[in-house]
Amino acid sequence: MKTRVIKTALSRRRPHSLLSTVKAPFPRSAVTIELEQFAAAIARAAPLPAEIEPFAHFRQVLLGALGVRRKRA
Amino acid sequence: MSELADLSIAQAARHLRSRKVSAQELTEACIARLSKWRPINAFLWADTEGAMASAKASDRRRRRHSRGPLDGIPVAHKDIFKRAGRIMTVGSIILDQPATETATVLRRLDQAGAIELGCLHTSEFAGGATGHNRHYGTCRNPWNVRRTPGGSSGGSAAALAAGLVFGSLGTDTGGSLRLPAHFCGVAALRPTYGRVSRSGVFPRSWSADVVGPMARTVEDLALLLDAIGGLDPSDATTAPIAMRRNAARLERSVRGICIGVPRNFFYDIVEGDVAKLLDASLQKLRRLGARIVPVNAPDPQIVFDLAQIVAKAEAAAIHEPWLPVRQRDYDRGIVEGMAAGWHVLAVDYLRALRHRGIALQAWLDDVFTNVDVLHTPVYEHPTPTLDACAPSNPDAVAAIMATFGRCTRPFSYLGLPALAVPCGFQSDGMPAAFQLVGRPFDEALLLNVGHLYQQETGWHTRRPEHPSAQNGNRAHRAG
Repeated sequence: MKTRVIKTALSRRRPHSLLSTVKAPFPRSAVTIELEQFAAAIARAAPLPAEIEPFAHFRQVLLGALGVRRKRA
Repeated sequence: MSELADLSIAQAARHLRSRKVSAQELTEACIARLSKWRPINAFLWADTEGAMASAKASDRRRRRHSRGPLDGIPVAHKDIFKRAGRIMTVGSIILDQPATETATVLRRLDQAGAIELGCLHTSEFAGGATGHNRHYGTCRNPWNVRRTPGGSSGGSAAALAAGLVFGSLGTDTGGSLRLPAHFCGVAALRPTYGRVSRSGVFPRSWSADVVGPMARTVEDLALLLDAIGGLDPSDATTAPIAMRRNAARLERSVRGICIGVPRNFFYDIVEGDVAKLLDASLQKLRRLGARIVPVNAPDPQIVFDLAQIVAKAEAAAIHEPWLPVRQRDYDRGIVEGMAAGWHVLAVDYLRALRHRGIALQAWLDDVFTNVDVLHTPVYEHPTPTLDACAPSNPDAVAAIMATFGRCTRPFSYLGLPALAVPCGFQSDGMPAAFQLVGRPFDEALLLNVGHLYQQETGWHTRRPEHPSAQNGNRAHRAG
């Protein structure tokens, strides 16, 4: 009995979200072109080293740029 | 008296200091313009009594001690900043509770003695860029009320161009300060990510949002940035970097400064009139002593697309509590603008975000070790009419919206400071601006170059004709 209840809950869970109460207001088809552009951009972007944590790395580069100067011509 | 409202902040501050004028007179001059310029719908509401009381207090205070150049200066801001006890609408009808705190930037302007005249128009949830808002009406361009003022900080740009306020704050996620500045012929600064606190500011995209100043002159931008910038314990993203007084560094010679003009992307599709104005601005900068050199930028299209992934996913996350249950209370275009964000995979969102530091490093290595400043368009096409981008015409809106942000959004993703400076008028009388982009936290150089350019040109001193005098699409003849 218990197993069947869990299975029912899982089958009701929407595939796009782990939050069963959240309903995406748009079908994926409505935004497919944009998503395809995003996928192409991801594919073209350079591979990333695994150790890069997003915000800390960006902040490190941003603050590290304080010393950047133009090379002499 | 309302000619007082055409002064810059710096000029008004000098008049206040020499007692040629009072804060009450400056405030009255702005108030006198409010009803005259009602057709542009730049103000959501004005608190004229409160502003006059603050002006009176400033006049009393300055007899003993001035708080600085903003003491007694009337300002108003996009309705996206919290003020304790007041409802911040962000151009929506969903937010209906008074704030319990005041945004850091408003507190800092209060401490500097600025007088808040009211709240300015914004696109719903800072999500649009055309001036349309079905809840609060359409904001119009003072140079031609049939054209877009841009957005989402369109109220700020329109109010400044019409002389309703002396300075204004806005926010910029993908170009929301720079685009309206271009369309309305005023100056705007997108500061470096982390330069200005966002505490108490409603978000559009946590990774790209910044707060920045808008004004009629670059000198005024420096005065506003000096007041609002710097570390804020209530915003962990602010950088622990001391603020230098930008306003004191505006007159340095730019002789020998190297200005890069990108060979790729940014100038690929610039249309006739705008191209001529951009070219003329480069010639003027060259005459000021700057070296103009071509430069290759790392592929901006990738940066633009990655920026969209981050911005849309974050906007969807921000609106996740309301969108599924209150979709009818949103404008259709605003909802569609973040629709893709609901379907971005977490893996792709993180990859786009993790790429940010790598992309910034590439731009520093390839661009900013060769040039000091980058010169680009803000917007490449003629100013769209409001009808052409009306929400009733969704296909046309989508086509026009796709042209917005192409030259501005890449720098939002990279976190770089960017300045929009008016550089003349197109043949249809609409203004245009160029964009200067600098190294992280080097706003001082951008402001320095922009200020000297304005000293050599008179574009920022021109004012639009009142809407009743505007004839069709003609608003102002180019000089």
